[in-house]
Amino acid sequence: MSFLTACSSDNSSGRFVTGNENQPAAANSPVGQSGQVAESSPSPSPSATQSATSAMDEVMKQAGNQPPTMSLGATKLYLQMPEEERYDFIEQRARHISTMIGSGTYEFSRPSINLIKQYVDAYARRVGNGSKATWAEDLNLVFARAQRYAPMIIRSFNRRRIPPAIGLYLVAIETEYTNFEQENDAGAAGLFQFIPATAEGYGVSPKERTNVNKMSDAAAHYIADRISEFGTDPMSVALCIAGYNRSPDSVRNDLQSVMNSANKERSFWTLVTNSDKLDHWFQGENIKYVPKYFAAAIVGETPWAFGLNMKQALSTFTGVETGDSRVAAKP
Amino acid sequence: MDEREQREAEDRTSSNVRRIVVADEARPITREIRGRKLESPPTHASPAKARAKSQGPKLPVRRSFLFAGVGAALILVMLIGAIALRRSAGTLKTKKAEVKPSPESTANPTVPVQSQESQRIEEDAKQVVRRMSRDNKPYSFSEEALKEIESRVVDLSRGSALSDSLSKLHEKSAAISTQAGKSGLQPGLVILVGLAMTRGGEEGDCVNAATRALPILASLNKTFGSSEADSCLILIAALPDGAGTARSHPLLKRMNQVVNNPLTERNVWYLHDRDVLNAKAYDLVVNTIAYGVIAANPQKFGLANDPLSF
Repeated sequence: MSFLTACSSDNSSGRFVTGNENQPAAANSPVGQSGQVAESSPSPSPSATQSATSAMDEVMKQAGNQPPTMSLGATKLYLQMPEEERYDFIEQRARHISTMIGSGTYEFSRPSINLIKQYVDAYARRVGNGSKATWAEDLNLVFARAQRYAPMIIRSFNRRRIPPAIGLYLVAIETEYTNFEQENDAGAAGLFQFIPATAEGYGVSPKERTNVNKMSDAAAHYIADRISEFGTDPMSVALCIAGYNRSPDSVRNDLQSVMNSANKERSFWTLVTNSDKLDHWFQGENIKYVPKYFAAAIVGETPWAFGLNMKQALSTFTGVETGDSRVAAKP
Repeated sequence: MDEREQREAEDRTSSNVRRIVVADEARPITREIRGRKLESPPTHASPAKARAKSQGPKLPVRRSFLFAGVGAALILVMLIGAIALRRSAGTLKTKKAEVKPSPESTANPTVPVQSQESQRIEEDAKQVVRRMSRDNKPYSFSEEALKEIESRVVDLSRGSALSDSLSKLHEKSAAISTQAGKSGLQPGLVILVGLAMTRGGEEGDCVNAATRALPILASLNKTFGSSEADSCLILIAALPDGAGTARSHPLLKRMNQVVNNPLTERNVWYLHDRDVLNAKAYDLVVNTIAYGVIAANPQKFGLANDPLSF
């Protein structure tokens, strides 16, 4: 069973909009959940075995994001790496992502790297699989769409001075860059999967939730509010990301429930370690959200290591600097 | 070559090293050194060349040197004379000034002493904030905040019960530290909040106050965090509102109303400017920092206590 099958099995409860005490308040969580069931990931196609080229490396150097192959000693794809090298790669890249989203660097523990790795492995297997099935789609198709929307998201987040990587990979895990017009069972729609109440709260009519420009602004505003509440360090931002899926009130409630003398660190990973004390919504779905976010960000920021057709990190598609991103700027 | 090999070896072991510009900066320097060596003439001419130079026709050259030398000597003598005249006039003026000192000249020596004191308080205040929060990043105060801290340090150091309170905290700091550590809080945060809540012991027992505040601070830590300096100060500012509920805190909503850019505006100073913090909350924050400055060096404020270690 692929990770997607496991993590998307039950999302139809609408727990972000109901008044159930265990469920996040609608006004606080923007998103509903998709209910698609994934197919298992086939093995990678020949395109996925292409090694990263020096041209890619050059592009990334210019973008200020060095290819990991330089430090890992070989120009090999993630799937070609032995297990221990994969751990090292993920640890290094996850740390890099933490610096992209927060004010500082977070040192990930081995169990948290383990969790992220599950999703990185699954994403890597989807590169070049030729599938068009939702949630099991060839990752090249996902990131081709992502390149089109990235400049708008980056612009909106930069305008709010919020790290764009937060928005870019929230969308990657919420909708895989499909701008859903139809609401899911929870009432969420659009690229960012806002429910009507949250969209209205951030100045967007529910009918306009597929307007990517407006929704990017609303999402940036929403995330800015959450960072104001949780804090600016990487693990506080990770709690904001968890709150996008579970509602910030519920995340605070979770922290109050599990933090004690044995679990002093205020982080999402503390919630994971103590998930047995949290509700089944957390155990079934929310527990996967942040690891999946980091996995998507690792893939999107080091596409050359996964053999993606995308030639540069997603966060560099600003729509201004490079030729590629000018093409990508078309709405 | 050895250096380059060493650099390459370091590059291989750590990805961060690759980005360090120092290695790149070193190269142009060596190139410059090499360039100088190639372009400039040898420092010691060979004896054969030196002899050849001395044997050539040199009379006209020597004459011109002679005239130039005499001219230069004359000019030098004139210059020295002029300087000597000016100096003698200057010493007369300074002697006059020494006899009748102006009021400005007597006030001047105290100015650098004051600024040094301010700098010391600023450094100590930064240290206090870092120690309360475990934040290793440099912290800076606005000029206004610093003035506020300075004036509080002066006021609070005169507190009649402060010396006794510091002694009590000395005795009990180990127990408080243990409890704070169990709650994921820095001991300094709890101890200094206890001091600030009782105004240095004037309004109650600071040890009891710290003990009572600890569970509330622990709860606020879960909501606001305390690992970053600004989060830690917000946590202190939230204390007058209590622990809040498990899901929220009154300060969160008020913060959301004014903070647009959390990276620059999520701090007590901005929240105070925008009237999000009431006077009690703001006073608690500034007094906590001020007591931290005093407790770090009590003897500099006329107190006989040893520095409080936490």
